[in-house]
Amino acid sequence: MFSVRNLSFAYDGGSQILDRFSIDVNSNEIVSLLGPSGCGKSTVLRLVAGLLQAEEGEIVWSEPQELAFVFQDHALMPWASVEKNASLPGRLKGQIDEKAVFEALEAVGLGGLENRYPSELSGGQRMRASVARALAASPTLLLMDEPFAALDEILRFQMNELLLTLKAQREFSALFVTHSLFEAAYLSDRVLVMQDGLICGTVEPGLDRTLGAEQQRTSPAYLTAIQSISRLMAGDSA
Amino acid sequence: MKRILLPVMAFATLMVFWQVYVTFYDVPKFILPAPSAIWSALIADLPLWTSSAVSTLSVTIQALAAATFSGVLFALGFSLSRTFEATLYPFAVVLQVTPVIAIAPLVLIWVGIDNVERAQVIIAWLVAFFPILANMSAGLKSVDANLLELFTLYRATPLQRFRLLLWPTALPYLLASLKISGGLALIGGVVAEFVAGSGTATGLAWRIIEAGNRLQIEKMFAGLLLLSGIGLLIFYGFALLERLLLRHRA
Repeated sequence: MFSVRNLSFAYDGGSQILDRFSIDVNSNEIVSLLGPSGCGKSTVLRLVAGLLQAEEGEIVWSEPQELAFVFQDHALMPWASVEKNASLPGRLKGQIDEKAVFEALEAVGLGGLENRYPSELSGGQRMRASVARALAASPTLLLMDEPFAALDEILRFQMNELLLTLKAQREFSALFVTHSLFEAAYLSDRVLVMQDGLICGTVEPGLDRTLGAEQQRTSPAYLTAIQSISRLMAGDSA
Repeated sequence: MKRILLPVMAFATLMVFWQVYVTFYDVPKFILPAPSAIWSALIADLPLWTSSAVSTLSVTIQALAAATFSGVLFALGFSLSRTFEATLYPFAVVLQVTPVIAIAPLVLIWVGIDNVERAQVIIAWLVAFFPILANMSAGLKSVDANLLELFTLYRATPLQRFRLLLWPTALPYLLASLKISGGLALIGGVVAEFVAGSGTATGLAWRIIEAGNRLQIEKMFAGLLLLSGIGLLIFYGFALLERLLLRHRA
């Protein structure tokens, strides 16, 4: 789908965040970037989104992509209804696909709440509205920057399930930034562990998606993936 | 309901106490007239008071409209160019910190000799402008950084960015500043009329000066009552507007 080749980036007057960073993301794949704060995970997302410009390197796309971004904060417009928030990408592009907006809201379980305002929603519903806004853009690549980090554990599990359900229903790739190795191991086809602007290891959990959530979370593949990720995060790249 | 009833009851109690005190102690009316005397003075010259109140209100509204338009425009300019902001912001602060009573005579000489109302509007604008500029600037800077990135991602035009993001974000700040600037515009207009003294001024301030010169204290109070009424009207008018426009926000 796209290849990031030798990207280097430093914020104005700051230290080098990324130094010749490279990854490949395939179609219909969820790739997680995992690592300590300041290792450059979010910077990679913003470079891929075109929100930041790299000093060196390039991003090569196999074909034009429709991008969508989900932030850690729901980033909804408090003055606009759920429907208006979800239709924002279309509004900015000058053509609102009402069917896509309606389907996105239905998909995240917010059907019937279109006219509510963010202040009238719970924390989980706001995050769902934020995901619906991204889905309404019919993305081929979903960029997610710690989208569920601010949610409590139960809600976080629910949102993980929602993402996997959506992924099973729609064709899109996702580049997912997280601090949680459990979340990364559960959601991802590939987990890239980052340290100081470089990838220090890759883990492919290979979970059997035909199993239920509980079975997947207790499966040997999941536990092995967590162990492997833990070792990489501890600095053992062997 | 409680928020309306409580101050109304407090006001009524004060009036009753005032009336009883003045009557019981036989306080001379040139020191403290009874509320009933103030009311009578108001009713006796109602057409004159009405036209004076309309004149004062007209000056206030004109000045506030000019301050809103210019404040929003300059704030927008500041948000677009740091150089523009760095160049002009100190001048805006100078306008704010220089006492309006000291500027008023100059403005009256420059533009108010043949038309006091024009000078009044300019002086009222001078005091009402800064809160709008400062609040609107703060509002435009308080835009959610994630939403800003989202608008960039979807390649929003500058107009879309202003209409769909900057303006709604800054609106609560603007409405808060209008509650302050509304009162300031009224004060500015009154100060200008006080400085002008006479001439073509027809507003409430001039009626108060005139009554003071004749020791008609009840008329002075009547003028003050109307000025307070206009101030309250402006403040609560904007408070209501704020409530209506921001009703969906947390």
